[in-house]
Amino acid sequence: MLEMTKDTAAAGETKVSLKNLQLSFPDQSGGVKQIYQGLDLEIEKGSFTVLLGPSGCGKSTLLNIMDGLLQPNSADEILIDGEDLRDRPDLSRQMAYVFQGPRLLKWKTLAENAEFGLRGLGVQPRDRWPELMERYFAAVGLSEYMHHYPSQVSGGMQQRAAIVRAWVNEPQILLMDEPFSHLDEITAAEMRRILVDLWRAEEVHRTVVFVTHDISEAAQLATDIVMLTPAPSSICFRRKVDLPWPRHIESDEVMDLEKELRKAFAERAGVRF
Amino acid sequence: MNWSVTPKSLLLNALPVAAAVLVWWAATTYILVQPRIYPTPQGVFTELVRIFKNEGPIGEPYTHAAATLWRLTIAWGGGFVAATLLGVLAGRKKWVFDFFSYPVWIAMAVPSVVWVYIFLVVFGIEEMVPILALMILLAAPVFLGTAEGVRSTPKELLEMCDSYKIGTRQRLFHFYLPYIAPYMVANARVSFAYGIRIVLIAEVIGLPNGVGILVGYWSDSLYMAPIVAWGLLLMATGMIVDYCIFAPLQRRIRREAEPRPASKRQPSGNSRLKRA
Ligand SMILES: Nc1ncnc2c1ncn2[C@@H]1O[C@H](COP(=O)(O)OP(=O)(O)OP(=O)(O)O)[C@@H](O)[C@H]1O
Ligand SMILES: [Mg+2]
Repeated sequence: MLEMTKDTAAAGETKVSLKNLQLSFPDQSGGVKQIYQGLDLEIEKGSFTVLLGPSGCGKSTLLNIMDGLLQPNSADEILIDGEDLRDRPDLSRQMAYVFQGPRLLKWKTLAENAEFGLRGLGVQPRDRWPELMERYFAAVGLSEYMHHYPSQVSGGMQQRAAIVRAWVNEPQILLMDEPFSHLDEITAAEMRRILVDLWRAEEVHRTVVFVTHDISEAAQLATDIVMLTPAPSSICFRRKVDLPWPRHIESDEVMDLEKELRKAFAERAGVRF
Repeated sequence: MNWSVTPKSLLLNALPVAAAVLVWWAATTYILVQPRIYPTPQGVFTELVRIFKNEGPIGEPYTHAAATLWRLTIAWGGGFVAATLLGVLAGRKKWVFDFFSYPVWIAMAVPSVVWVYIFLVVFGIEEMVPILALMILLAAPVFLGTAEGVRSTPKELLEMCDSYKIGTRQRLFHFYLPYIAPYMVANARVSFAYGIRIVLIAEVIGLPNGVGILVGYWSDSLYMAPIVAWGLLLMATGMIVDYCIFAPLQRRIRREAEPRPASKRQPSGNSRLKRA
């Protein structure tokens, strides 16, 4: 287990900064649905930031904008390390995405799926790939299954492989969109433990942006919690969390934090959980 | 389901064939006794032997057969590759699809014989004619099948490719083509079988050599046994290609797509329990 002091993020530096984000989608009735009306969001370097918000508030959309997959209608800035993503689309190569489902290619083995991502993001030098894959497959306990096809392993294992596909790139920012929400609670708890271990194991912590609508999950993982209101969404609550890991769901601190979050949600976003 | 070849399945395959030969023999020996028009099995067999000995009235049968197979392979191969690549493009870009949609329908709707005549007028009696006619005919359904397959690629997987900045080549060979591989093998299978039939028609009408010319010659001489013999040979060729190339390919693809027992041990007991 690592020292607790390491777990606190190197405070101060901003990794991602969104300013005055505007986005609307056409809705079925011919009108427009406002998703963001001037949303501002800052994410600190090395933090484990959890975006917490009700379904449909635009959490996935926010990750897609950070990854350059989607352009907002307008924004004053979309900065990654102080540079605007719209001027430097290549900045999104420092990011790797873990989706809600595994999204693996079924005709490739788990290792080949990870390699697919490495090739796409162009991780250099290539001779490091085997070592990287072995290291991270081992870290999530999948060494034995590297050469299995997705259909040969369980859903939890597929999702772990999807995490490896992201992590092998050693990205500066990890975007995770409700990665465990479709797993049963016991598997999900194990996955959270694996994820936190991976994140903490590194000298310099990667920046993780983790989306969820599960308050308890947020309380178990985050160093930073950002709460979004229903669309058009804005940030209604934000706080740092300075609790050690592993955090037990039944521990008083975690329970208190959950209570606080629930209360904030009810009061500021008008959403009851 | 078990689709492997067993002695029992072979016997079942052979049974109707044997029965048909028997009926054929009985009919041509006792009822339709007119060997020129209704050849007997023995008569056809004799012709097969002559073909294998490379004996024939207008040039060597081997040369004719080679000409036909060559045309078929070129036309089918060229048409298939071109149609697949265009199909992928059309599945991705709507304007490519729109651009080709009428030509493709025309290609499919106009009978092959008409194409052969059109090209004969344009090019004269040339090697190009049957090849082009075949290509067009074979390419059209392959194009549609491929475009449809590419269009059905799930949005989630495409987003994954975008997010991981997957390049064009990588996308084509590691994403689209494997995704549509089942469609492609089905396309290839059907179009090859179709091609065998059409190449003969083209040859009968518009070329100086090929199996079609032989068939035309025997048909003009009102002598049916060699025609049946060539028919059997073409059928056998189709079956061999199907059996040796397409069927194993399709089996492989199906195996890759379906869950199968792992070669190593199954997920350990506890993760099993968790799923329960
Ligand atoms: N391409 C699109 N076209 C139209 N509407 C869209 C599109 N993408 C997202 N939306 C709408 O934008 C809103 C936010 O979507 P988003 O997927 O970001 O929500 P979310 O917060 O991730 O929700 P969930 O928790 O259910 O995943 C939703 O109302 C959705 O219907
Ligand atoms: Mg979402």
